[in-house]
Amino acid sequence: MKKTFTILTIVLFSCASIFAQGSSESAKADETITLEFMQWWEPEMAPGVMEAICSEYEAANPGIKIKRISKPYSEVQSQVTIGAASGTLSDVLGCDPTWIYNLVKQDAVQPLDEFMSADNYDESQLASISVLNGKKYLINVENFIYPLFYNTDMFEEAGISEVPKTHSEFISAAEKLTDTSKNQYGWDISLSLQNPTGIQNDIMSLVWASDGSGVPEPNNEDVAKVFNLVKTMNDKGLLVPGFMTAQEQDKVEHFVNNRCAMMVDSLAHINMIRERNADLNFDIALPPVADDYSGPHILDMAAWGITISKSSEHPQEAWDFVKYIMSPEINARIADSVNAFPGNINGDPNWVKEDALNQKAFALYKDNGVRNEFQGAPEANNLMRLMSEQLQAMLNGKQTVSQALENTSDAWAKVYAK
Amino acid sequence: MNSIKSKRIGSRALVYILLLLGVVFAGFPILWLISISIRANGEVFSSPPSFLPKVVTFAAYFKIFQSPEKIRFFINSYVIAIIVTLVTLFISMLTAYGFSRYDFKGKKIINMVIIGTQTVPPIALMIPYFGLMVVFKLYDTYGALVLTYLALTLPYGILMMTGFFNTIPKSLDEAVLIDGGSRLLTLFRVIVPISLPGIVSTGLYTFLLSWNEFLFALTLTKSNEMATVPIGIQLLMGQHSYEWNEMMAMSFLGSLPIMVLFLFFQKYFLAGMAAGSVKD
Amino acid sequence: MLKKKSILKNKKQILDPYWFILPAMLLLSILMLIPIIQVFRYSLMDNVITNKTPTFVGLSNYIDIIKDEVFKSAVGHTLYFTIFSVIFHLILGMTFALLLNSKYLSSGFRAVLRVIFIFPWLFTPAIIAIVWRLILDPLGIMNYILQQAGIINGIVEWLSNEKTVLQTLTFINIWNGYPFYMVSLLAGLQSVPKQQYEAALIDGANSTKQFRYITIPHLKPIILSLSILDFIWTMQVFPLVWMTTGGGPGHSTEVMATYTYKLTFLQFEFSKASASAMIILLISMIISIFYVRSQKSR
Repeated sequence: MKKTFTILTIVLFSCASIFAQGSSESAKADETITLEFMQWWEPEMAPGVMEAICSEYEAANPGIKIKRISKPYSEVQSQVTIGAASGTLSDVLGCDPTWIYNLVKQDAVQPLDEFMSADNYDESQLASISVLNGKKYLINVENFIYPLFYNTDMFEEAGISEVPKTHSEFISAAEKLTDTSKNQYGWDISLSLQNPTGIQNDIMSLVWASDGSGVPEPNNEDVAKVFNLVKTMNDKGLLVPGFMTAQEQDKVEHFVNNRCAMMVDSLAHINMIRERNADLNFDIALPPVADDYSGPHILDMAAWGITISKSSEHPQEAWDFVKYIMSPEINARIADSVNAFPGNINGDPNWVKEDALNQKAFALYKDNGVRNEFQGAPEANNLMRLMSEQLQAMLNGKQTVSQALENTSDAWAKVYAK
Repeated sequence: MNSIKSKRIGSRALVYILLLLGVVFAGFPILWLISISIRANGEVFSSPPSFLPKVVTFAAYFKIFQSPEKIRFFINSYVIAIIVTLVTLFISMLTAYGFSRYDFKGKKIINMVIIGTQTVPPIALMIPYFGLMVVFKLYDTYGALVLTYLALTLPYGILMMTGFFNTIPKSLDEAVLIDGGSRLLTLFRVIVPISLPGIVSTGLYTFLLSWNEFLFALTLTKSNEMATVPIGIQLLMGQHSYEWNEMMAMSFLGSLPIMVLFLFFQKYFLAGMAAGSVKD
Repeated sequence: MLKKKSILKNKKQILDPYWFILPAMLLLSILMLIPIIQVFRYSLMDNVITNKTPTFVGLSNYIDIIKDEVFKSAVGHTLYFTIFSVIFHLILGMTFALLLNSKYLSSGFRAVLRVIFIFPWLFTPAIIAIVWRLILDPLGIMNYILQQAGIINGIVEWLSNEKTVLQTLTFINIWNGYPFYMVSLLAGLQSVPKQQYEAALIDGANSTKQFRYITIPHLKPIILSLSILDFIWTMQVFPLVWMTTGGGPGHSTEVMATYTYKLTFLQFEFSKASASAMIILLISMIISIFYVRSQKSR
């Protein structure tokens, strides 16, 4: 039996050596301070930019090491959920403003107020800060607007000279643009349930465009108009088929491959569209508004936010790094690499001067309001998913527009009641 | 005579036709995968869809080979899969030896429990596993994945190996025992060499499971240095765009060694499966 | 002399078998029993993790879930998905195994074919989901081929039409899972004693009869245990469903695993998710009793 013991010991040792693997990593942290920085930005940015930004910071601040954890958006999202539940969040966290409510509720992130007042930080230079329960939790690093992208060649071919401005014009343009024999459709939306941001960017963006509101109460005229618009488009077969399970990425591929003539999409996609299909002629415009609306246009805005985790052992150093990311120069550099508008209003991005399309994008941003009612809402992703489910049931003919709105409203009320 | 002959030709033709259909069924999606891996991303959604890309490019493969970070995914996957396979085999063999060579109190109940653990849905384990791995300081290490996969593979491994050991006559190892050899000696000198097919088949199953596992790899690791191939593929799905060709290339490269392994080991694998599953 | 020695040994070594099974028992109890107990405990509390001081609420999480219409439909979808997957896994696995075992094939050709036929097993669920989503894209290759062949008119929205999506998803899972059966049955076929077939041939039995009276009875234990294991595994399938449809459109492909996942990651209802997981466990347990029975009957 001695031998059995020996074998057992070997097994235990091999297990222990695996354990040791984990602890040796943390042992290294004693000499220098390592800040973990998790975000989905690096994969979106031009290669090397984020790395350079971080290593410049390390060079200027000896003793600090930035450990970048760069993952795709959806994965950062699940990591954030897990991290918040298990107290393993990275020190500095790239965070969509639509996630912040639950992080605050789970007590996983730190308020920034004390750091700001200790530093006499000039808040007026920041475009947007998320405030919950009277405290500042998240700073918008970059803002993205969602204009209407349209394929100019298709417009020409269909004999449309004016970009549709109202829902009715939008429908009639989509009718002219749809040619099923060529697998060409007027409008594309993405209602996938895995990542239900299509609700925010394809549906609610049109509600907000006419200065409407849908959060927290979706059962109103403004939302009904957009639901009706989608229903008409769907009934007439003007939407790219498969939209109920399509994701945002699919939408862009459809646009690139001439499958759809119009989509509401992030400016960040301009580079990718050009890269995928250099011959594509397209332009951007304001998304359509309700027929009877005449006020100012409002654009859907998404943002990359930054926040500090409660479990961070070096909150002061983390805050210093946040300040660096928010400094005008760095902020503009990030913006340049992804066609964003810097969260520091003193940031002066170069991309907006590059060509006519980019200048137009900048003009749209400057001249119109922006809105995103999901930022700071509870379980924002869940709200979007609940609405998407009702919208899909409506498009499948299972319920009317008013039923879909009523059911969404009921489902949302339960989330808000928690 | 003639009718028998034509009947035979008929049945031969039938076998070939069915095989051809089967090859298309099994192979088409994989061919499509390879076809995407060698085209530009802009061509993935081209209409009408074309089976062969207009321009064949191996850029996706080069991108993977040129990136140390991506090579690391393969190394991680191999390290984890190999450790899990070896440990599973070792522990399964010990346990199977105990089950097949002894009668002891509680044997039936323990056997039931082991089978019962097969029924635990992985999704049920997800939440407690974060906690467990954080407490053990294993979160975001190989250890987290190795231990988790062991929990998934051990029950099946034990069941399979017990089946195999039962097929080996006890007289064989008793001869060694009487000569004064220890129990462990008999296990490794006598039983292991005979049951090589079983070991290979259990090993392949274990390897494939840990190679392809997704849910725990996603939740129990954080940094890219710890990512396995399935997570590496996930990493190519950005907020705004998918690197279609690279995802496909990575997946194909990941499966290639397993194909070769299977081609090489299939003789053992098939023999192993049969013995393990028929006799108990 | 010999007898005496072995009795002595037996007395001294009464603990021996426990040493052998100890490592496995240790690992499995740490990795399986403790987490399950923990999940069970969670499932009896009001929301754990998000709530710092959870209180005991008894079975109310279970009652909430069982009452939930979405959960009920998820159980229905899971059963549909699982039952059809298992049946077709078996049919396809058996057919391909028989074909690959056919005497018309040379051994080299056979070896290559075997590798081709296990392709679907070699790829990770994430990539399987993506490849099939591309193939089944409404404007993708599958519809194009079917249109060219004149089989369909217009466009079939395989994965985004409520009427076809569950069937399509089940089809993908069938494609993904048959190789495990095929390989096991292929192995089983190798072990059917050749004499039995020869004897049957002399008795004038045709191949259908041989299959029915020799092959099937011989493979019965494998078929039984494969089906039950597969049933349990398929009930728990998550990544494939999640990455293909996310449970949609609507709730039309919601299965128990995606339901549980959404409770965890979208709704942060960790206690309800635990209760839902316990229900899956319970159902699997009931089925595993059949498995144990089938094991015993051998």
